Amino acid sequence: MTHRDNQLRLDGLAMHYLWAVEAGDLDAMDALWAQAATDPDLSNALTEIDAELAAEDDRSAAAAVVGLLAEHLPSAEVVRPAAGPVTVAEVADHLRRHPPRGLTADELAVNDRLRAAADPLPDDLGLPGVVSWGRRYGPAPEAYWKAFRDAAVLLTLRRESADSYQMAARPARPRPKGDRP
Amino acid sequence: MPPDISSPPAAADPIRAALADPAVLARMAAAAGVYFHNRMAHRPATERAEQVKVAVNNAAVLALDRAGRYDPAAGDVVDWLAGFARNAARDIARTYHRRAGRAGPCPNLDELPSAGDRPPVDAEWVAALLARLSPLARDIVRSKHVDGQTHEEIGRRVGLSTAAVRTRLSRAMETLRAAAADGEVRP
Repeated sequence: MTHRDNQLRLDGLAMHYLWAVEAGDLDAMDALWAQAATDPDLSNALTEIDAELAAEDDRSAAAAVVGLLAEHLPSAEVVRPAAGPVTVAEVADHLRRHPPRGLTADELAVNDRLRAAADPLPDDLGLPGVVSWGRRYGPAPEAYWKAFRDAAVLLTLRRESADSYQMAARPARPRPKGDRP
Repeated sequence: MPPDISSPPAAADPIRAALADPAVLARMAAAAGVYFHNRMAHRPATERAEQVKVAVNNAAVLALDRAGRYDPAAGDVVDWLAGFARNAARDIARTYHRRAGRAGPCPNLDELPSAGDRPPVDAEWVAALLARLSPLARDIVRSKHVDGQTHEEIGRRVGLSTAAVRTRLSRAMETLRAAAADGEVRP
């Protein structure tokens, strides 16, 4: 049997196993595990499926907790590992959790619209640049864009600082002895 | 202090050592968890997690009790313990009712029930069904059932593990089967 033939055989058995898992057919699951007792490839395939389903459960449980937090404790901040450039949505989220004094209800409504925008921030974070760039998201008073710009600068600095920390935390490669001064 | 060699190591030692390893416990929990997928689907996730914990605990107690029967030559201790976890989970899962839904063998694209008098395979109808899937799921279904790729080949191409391709394909086929059976999709 070629490797491909074996893979096709395992594909069929794996789908049958998943079908049995979702259907709650415990006898069918047991029958496949009994077959796997003398078939290491099948045993590996079923073990990997178990691990994948467990990981999915963990991911959905974590998502459910984050969803409940957002629903019942809107002031809570879920700290996620920083990745990529700061987005408009992240700045708007920050403003929602830490609204500066004097921000009106209308301005917060504008802010809520921006919480769905995954666009990156503009390169120019000067106030005139941000006001002109922000027009694409609809009308908003300059006071809002000033608060947005301040939050954007803060989050960008934090992200850059976190990136530098990660770089510094990487283990240094040992230098060859001849390199030492 | 020199090691005590006056008595042979207890039979439970390799079992105890394995049970002290979080990775082994995670493997046992994963082995047990699948038995609750259907039967506790409508229960809170915390209750399901609790039953997984009970199953792993029962399995550990039984494994220690039967440690003398473990034969390293017959297989890895982790596989042996995972077997206990499966048995314990099955015993608990049987006390829950099976949720109605899927029945019969895993379907293939050309085995989907036809709508009315339509022949089993109708290109337009299948296209309309496929449109209900996410782009990734559609790609996986096409690669498997149209291009004939293996799950391993698909995984390499889309950057997923073989097991992840399998779980996604299984769900996609269930979505297609349900849509076809309900007659929701018509060309």
